[in-house]
Amino acid sequence: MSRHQDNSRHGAQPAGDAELAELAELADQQLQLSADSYDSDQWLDIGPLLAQAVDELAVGELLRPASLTYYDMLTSVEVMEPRLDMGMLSACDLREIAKWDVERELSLRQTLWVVEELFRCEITWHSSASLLQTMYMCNYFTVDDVPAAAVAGEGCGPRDRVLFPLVVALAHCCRAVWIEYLRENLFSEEDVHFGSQPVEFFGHIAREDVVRMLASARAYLEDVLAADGDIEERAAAKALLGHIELRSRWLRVLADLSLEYLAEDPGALDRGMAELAGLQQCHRAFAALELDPELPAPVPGCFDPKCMRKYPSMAPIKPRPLLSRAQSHAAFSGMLDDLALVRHLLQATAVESLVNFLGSFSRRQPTPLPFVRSLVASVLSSNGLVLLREPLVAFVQRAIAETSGRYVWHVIEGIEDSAAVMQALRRGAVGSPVLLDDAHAARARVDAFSQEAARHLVDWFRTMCQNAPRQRRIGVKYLASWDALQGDAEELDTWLYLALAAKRGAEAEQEANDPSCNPFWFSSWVYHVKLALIEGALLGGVRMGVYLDYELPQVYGYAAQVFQAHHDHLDRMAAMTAARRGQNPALRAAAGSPGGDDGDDDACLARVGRWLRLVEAQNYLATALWLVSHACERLGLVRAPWWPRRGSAGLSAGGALAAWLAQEADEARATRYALRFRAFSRLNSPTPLTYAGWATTLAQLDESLLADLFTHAARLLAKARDVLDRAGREPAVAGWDEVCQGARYAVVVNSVALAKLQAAGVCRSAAALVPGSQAAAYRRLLVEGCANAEEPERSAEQPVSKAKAKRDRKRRRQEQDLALAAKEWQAAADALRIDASSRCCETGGHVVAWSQFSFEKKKKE
Amino acid sequence: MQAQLVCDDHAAAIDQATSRAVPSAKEKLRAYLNHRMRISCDDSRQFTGIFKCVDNSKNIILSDTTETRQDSQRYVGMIMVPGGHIRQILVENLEYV
Repeated sequence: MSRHQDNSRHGAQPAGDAELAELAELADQQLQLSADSYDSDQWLDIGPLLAQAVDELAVGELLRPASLTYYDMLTSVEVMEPRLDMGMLSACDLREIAKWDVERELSLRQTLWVVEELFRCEITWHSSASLLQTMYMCNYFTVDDVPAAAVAGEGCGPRDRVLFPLVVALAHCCRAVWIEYLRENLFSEEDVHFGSQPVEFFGHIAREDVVRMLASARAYLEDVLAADGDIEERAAAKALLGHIELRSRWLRVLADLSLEYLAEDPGALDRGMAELAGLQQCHRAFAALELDPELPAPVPGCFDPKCMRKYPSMAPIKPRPLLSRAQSHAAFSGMLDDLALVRHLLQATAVESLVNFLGSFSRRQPTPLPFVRSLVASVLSSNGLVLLREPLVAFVQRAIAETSGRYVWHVIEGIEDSAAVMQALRRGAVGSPVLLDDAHAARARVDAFSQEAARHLVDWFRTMCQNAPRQRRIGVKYLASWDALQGDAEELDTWLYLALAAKRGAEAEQEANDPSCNPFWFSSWVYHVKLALIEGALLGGVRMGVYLDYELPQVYGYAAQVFQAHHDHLDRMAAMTAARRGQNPALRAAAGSPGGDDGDDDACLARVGRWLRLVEAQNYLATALWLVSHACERLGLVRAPWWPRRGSAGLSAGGALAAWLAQEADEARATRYALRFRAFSRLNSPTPLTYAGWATTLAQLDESLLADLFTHAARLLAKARDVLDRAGREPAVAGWDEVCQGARYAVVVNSVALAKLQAAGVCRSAAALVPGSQAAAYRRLLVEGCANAEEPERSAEQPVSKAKAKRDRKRRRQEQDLALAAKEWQAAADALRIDASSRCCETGGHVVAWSQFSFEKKKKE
Repeated sequence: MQAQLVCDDHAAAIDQATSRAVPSAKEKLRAYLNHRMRISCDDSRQFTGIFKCVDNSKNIILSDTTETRQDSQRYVGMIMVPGGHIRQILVENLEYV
């Protein structure tokens, strides 16, 4: 404090030499203080006090301020625990670190080793690992600055002439990817480990300099190859030339396919794609080269696995081993293939093609790497443009026109036009004069709705570019907003009907709410998308295996309900469009109105027809799988939690089993059912059945024989195949085949499984010819019989009347008969000796979101 | 005389109260909670942070901690230093604060 006073005093008067010297001394002292805010006098050793104090603490007692909660304590990182403490160094680590020497001259073999390791690091980083676990481990990658000689291409050894150019080029590739990562299409921890480390990637070196450095490295290596040198060094030089070629091309592709580049010059996409094709070819040749594993010579201390100690860290990173060389090349090759999809995306003209493309992209297996997903999401929507060319509102209006037809757009577009068009409008389809105020208000309301719908539509599209768990999770969340949007759309449709028909009064309002009069242009489209979202969420759950086997009948039951609703809705939309086909021809030319050339009525009908057939086939498929999974559950092949595993200890332990059965009462099952469908129950339509409704449906199904269920399922699958085959023969838009392929595959594999089951005589067996209600009673009897087996018998000493004893005997005889029948049924089911299993279909790099049932003979025990 | 006796009683009570007021080691240590602490570890690292908690095994929790080794320094946030690894423990001298 006194120093501050002195300073202020000195500041008030002209300073002499002595005072200046004193000030300088003070400044030095302050500098020292900033380096270590306390000198040795200010620290007090409390070792003895601590020892004494902890003796006074009881076991489990903590000395802490009230503000520190147990949750806070759990977030602390334990020091000296190897799995948590990133800064801990063992003696071995210290020895390894001491070996590092940045000035060391490298041979070409050593250079090759570093480059090969860095390639593995790069691809592991692309596969969602952290920079700290990959590239930052390499000390050459994290040097403060590249030697000037290396930048100028004037160094004398492989380190400056080859390694540094490749390291800088790699850093620039990473920089391009990192810029894409920062576009907020990805999520920390789930997709990319962003971390808090500084990210520079040699950004101060210009790209032209990097290209020049690579060219200089290539010339150096060619000189080495031209000279007569060591054979192994020459082999290493050859491999390094391959790396340089690959790196140069990859750098160019990343620049050409960057969002800025594409936005600036969309026409240059073909050039970028040609570059990508060249890179793919180059990579295939390079990956096919067999590298002698003994050729690369390790550089001691070059890679520092404990590099995390140098960077701020709040929590340890999940350990992630580097991919092997073969895995890295396979992953890189997959990434290049996925990048080629950007062309298909940008060339999609119809919204339907875009939806098909995104549907198959979201189901790709393995999931595309984060960089590709982010790039696709960026291209899809950025800076208010869809596919870098179309404003969002125009896009959504085109989407609506593609499925609802152009009729309403003709009317709305005509409103803005001249008096002549107004006359045409009056003479045309609407039939009555439209008030001009209403006409302008209609345009404004439609635009406002389009703005709102555009936000929802783009959110949905972007969700399809996210990782699989997020796709489903967020997709389910969006259902509620689409439900609300449907309400808005219905309101708009009603208003539009009244305004455009220039009708007023109660009768007109009743007409406006009647689907047979009002086509509901906008809400039809919203409902269509909402149903597609529900289907995606349900099948996404199957794809990700979130449903247990016993839940499959419930899920497929609801899926069949949704597909049926979708089918009816599309049918109505098709009828609505067909009814107005060719009307309003005198209005505006097709060009310039939403839908463009593709939006004419015939194209719209064809598009709705395609959806209709796909939904119809999926409806058959879902119903068939519902019946099959229900039949499997009845046979005991699919185990519900409330059915104990046969032969398990639970059966003999009567008390425990009774408690278990009590726990799994109807109420518990109803709760579980409600939780499974809670996201869908909140929707206005289609809402899933209540648990009571589901139980009634099951009771109806139980009246059927198993044989009938299997046969009916086989018939439904045959119908589905027929519909899909017919759909496949029709001319279609891009991406349609891929959409049909998955459903067709699921139909075929399940048909084959059922045919095998029927051929094995299962449908003729005694077990299959018992109605479900009876089978369920048998099963319960068997389970309860086991549960009561160990219950204590009633004491024989209790006096019993003769009549009661007779009734008891009769009842016992009936129970024995029933038990005998149940045992016979069980024996018949056992004699089938089949095992049922279901898993998600997989074909051609796609996971098909349908179960694939297989029935196999049980192995002999 | 009576007054003298009452005074003596008071004196004894006061003596007892003042002897009870001498803080235990635990209470003394409590006074250092939320003060800066520097812990030297087995592997020659030093952790400087805010003293938050200690238990009877001498495990210490520091928050807002900086790790220092010979050549570098980094921020590590909230850490728990096991008692078995503590070589030296320093706390800021309250007289200087």
